Amino acid sequence: MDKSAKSKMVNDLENRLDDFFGGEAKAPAAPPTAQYSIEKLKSAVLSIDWEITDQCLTELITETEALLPHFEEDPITHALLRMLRALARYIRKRKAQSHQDAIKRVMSVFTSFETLANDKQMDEQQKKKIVAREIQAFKKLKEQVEGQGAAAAGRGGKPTTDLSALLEHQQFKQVMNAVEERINAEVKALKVQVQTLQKELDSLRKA
Amino acid sequence: MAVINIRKKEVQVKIVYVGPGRGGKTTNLEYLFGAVRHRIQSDMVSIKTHGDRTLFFDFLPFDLGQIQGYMVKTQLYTVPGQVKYNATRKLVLKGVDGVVFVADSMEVMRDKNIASLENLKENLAFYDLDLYNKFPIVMQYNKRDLAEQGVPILTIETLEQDLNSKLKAPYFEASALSGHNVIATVKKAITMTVVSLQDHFT
Repeated sequence: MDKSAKSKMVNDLENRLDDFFGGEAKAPAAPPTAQYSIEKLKSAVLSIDWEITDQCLTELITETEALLPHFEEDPITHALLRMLRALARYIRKRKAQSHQDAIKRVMSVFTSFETLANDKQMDEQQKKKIVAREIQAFKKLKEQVEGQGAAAAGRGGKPTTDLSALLEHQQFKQVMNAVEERINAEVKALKVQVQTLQKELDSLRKA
Repeated sequence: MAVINIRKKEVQVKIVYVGPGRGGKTTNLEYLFGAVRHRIQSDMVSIKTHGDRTLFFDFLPFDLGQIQGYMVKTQLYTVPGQVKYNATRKLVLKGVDGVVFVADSMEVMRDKNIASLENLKENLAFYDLDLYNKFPIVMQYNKRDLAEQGVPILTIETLEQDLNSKLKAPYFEASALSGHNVIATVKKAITMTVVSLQDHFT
């Protein structure tokens, strides 16, 4: 690239950047029309995609609840938010025992919610179609979860899990106690041995 | 390396903000997002930890429009500054075209600035990029405003000596919190990166 062409390109680029950023002026405030923001909810959803913790899930529930009043007049979007809250509550309660598709559902419901919240021009038919799809998937998941629960109850279900955790805990305690006792006994034996050796050493010195 | 679509006449440029933890990388992006949010379609995406630290990265994409017949799309990223997240840093640097190094001006951060630049050099080398061989980088000496609050800060000479004596990169004294020189930094970084790509492909 020759020098003049390069400087023209740099010039064009700098002009474009000046237009885009509007110089070093102070950043304009957020548009006054935005009375709510879904940014925090998005951040909470992305957080659970990265790591599922109680804190992330609580944040997700809090953010969802904060948005609910803003969509009271819009039953379709409101339904999606309620679905999101229900899913978050379910995952928080069941933790690792949650259905494997629950997180996928959270992502999908949020994506649909975001689409609806951002596209004010979307016609009702389209909105209904989106929410109907989500409700159907949600119901399917609910059925699977209930099915899982029933099957687990048939086998002794949830108590088995809790009991096994308790047993593991008790077994662990027993093992720890046994190890502790053994160490104490060995230390005691060593002390006796040291005392005997000490006595032998003293008698040798005297001799 | 930048994504260039000749058929669509589109160039996608990736610029990553790098520097020690708590240095102000995310604050830079937040300020920029505040400045341009009314003219871009996209959102800034942040993934934070409990203490509001960047866990994975921040991401701010925007289109600059047509330049010399090409639609230029810019993607700004930050990396987590904490030492323990090097794997993430390395991953975010994949395909990087330009870097803004955000140094923390506080005296106590001197060693961390140096270590962070060294880490950047190593991570770029992983992708066969040589920081010291015409790689587009802009230095930003952030938190200059702290001097007014009586916080001991490094002089520009010291920062230049520590970080830029070999690189000789353009630098800006900045305050990401107030926005001072934040836009100037990104403008310089984009210009340098696009010019470097132009040089590379012609």
